Amino acid sequence: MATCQTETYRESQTEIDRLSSLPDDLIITILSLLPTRTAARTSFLSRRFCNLCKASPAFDLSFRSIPFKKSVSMLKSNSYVDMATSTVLSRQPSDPPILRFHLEVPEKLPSGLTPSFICSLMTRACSLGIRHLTIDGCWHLEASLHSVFSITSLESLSLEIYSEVIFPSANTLTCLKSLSIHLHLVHNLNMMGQVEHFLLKLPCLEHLQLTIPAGAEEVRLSSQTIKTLELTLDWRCHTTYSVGLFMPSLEFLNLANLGYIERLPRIHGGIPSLRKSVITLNYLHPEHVAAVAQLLNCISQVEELSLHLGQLAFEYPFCVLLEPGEEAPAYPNLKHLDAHMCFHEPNFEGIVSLLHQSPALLSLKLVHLSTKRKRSGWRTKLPRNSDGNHQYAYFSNLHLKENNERFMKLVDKKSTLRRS
Amino acid sequence: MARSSTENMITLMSSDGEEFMVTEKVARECTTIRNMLEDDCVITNIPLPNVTSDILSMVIEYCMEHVAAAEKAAAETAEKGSSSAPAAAKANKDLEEWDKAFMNVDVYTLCDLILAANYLNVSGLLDLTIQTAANLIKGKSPEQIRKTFHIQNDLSLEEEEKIRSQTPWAFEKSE
Repeated sequence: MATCQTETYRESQTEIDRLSSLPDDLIITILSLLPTRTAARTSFLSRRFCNLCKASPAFDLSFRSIPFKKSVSMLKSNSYVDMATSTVLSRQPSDPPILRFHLEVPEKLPSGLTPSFICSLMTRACSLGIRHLTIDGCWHLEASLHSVFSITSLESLSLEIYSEVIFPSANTLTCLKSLSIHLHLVHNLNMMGQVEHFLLKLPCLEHLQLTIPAGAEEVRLSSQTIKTLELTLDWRCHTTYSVGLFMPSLEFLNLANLGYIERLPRIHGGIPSLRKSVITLNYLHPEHVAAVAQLLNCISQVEELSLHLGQLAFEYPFCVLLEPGEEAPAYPNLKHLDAHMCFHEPNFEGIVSLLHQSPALLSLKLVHLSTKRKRSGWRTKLPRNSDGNHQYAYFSNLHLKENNERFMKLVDKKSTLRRS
Repeated sequence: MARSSTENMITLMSSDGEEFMVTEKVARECTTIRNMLEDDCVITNIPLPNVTSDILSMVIEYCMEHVAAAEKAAAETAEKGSSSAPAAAKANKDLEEWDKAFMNVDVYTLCDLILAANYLNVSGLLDLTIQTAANLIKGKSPEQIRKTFHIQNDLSLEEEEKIRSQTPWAFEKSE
């Protein structure tokens, strides 16, 4: 009887509107996670919700979220302009501050949505002291970029650039900590140079995400403050000859290629503080090896290294780490190595050569990436592990004598395999 | 068990008088409690008059799971090397799955958890519950949102019409 009563009580309790009884600031936080259009619809729920969405500290203006009407072709951009006007443009600097602004417009602006309108949104954003700005899919940034760079309160900025733009010459973004620039430009060689100059003018930038554009030949990235760098090589940047990194504070480097690149750029420069690096390069062929070797040389001061090197399966396996006959560079600080690659004989020997140069190593993880090649030359040379296969190998606490001896067996195993 | 007995235990008391013994490490996941412990390190019994026992037990469950996951990750780092990205990604995914299952609650409990996470200042749980509430609103018509959260519509027809006319772009439907 008692349980029955509790259940009825519980059931009637769950029918109570608990959301409305939350304090304003919590409801507003919930609404701030919604696209602006969805958040605005909550004003229709009840009197409690009437004005809450107007206090949201975020704008998320998504063009995609506006339904398409066949009957009136202009309506979609009209709705978008209405939405932006009654949220961003009607917001006053005296209203609660705006933290995040996400602008998503189609790559080609439809009629009714003009670059000058987007420019006016940026000008307003500037007066509202916005901290985080993301602009997606905007082809027509030329006009509005100037106003974007005048938002001095920005702490993070993410841009996709598809057309020729002029970066500002003066230093305005003095609070910017995080910058993400994806250049999708094919022909303008000057753009990368502008980005290089722009980076020099950001006094507290710590995180940079950059997609190197096609067309750039020699890239030179310098910054005194950048700590983490995520560099992406687009498949189109096959003309990039070299990338120089001059970043004395850089601690973490993530480098990846998206798709096959005919010519892998040479990475060089000065990154003495580098502690951790994640390298993901796929579709490697023998002509890339010199660039990979140079990269490994450039980052030889790391403590933690994660290598994910996929190679194209040719007739004969080749070592992706080192050029034939070369020795691995010294890795005096390397403590943890995690390597994913096809551990056929040349790669296995390359790794063993690298291990001989790593006196501080504490742990090692090797994972075999199999290729479709069935030839025996492409089979893994890793020693048998505790699961009874040759697909991976773990070694830990290598500073201890017994573990080090076990570790040396790895090298021995290789030579037995060789004999057979 | 032997290990936990050496750790400092803290008793948390819910609004309805139920007592929960937790390790100091778990209790410290709540910033509010961490601040209390830092102000007065000999405190072992903390009354929480704003949190009921069923909600407090859920908050503790969340904190324990996340402390255990962090400990497991740390142990694996020591054992196998920290740069094992796939293993870390899998652990993250497992924890995300756990969070997702943990959020399978009715809206009443969800709102109570938001309040408790806010009061105890458990930032991970607050983010999770707030995001879950936002997801419940996404993609729904006002009528469906009212039904989900049992919200009474107290707007007069005139008020409704006024809101519609002020924000017509929010209410258009696709054809």
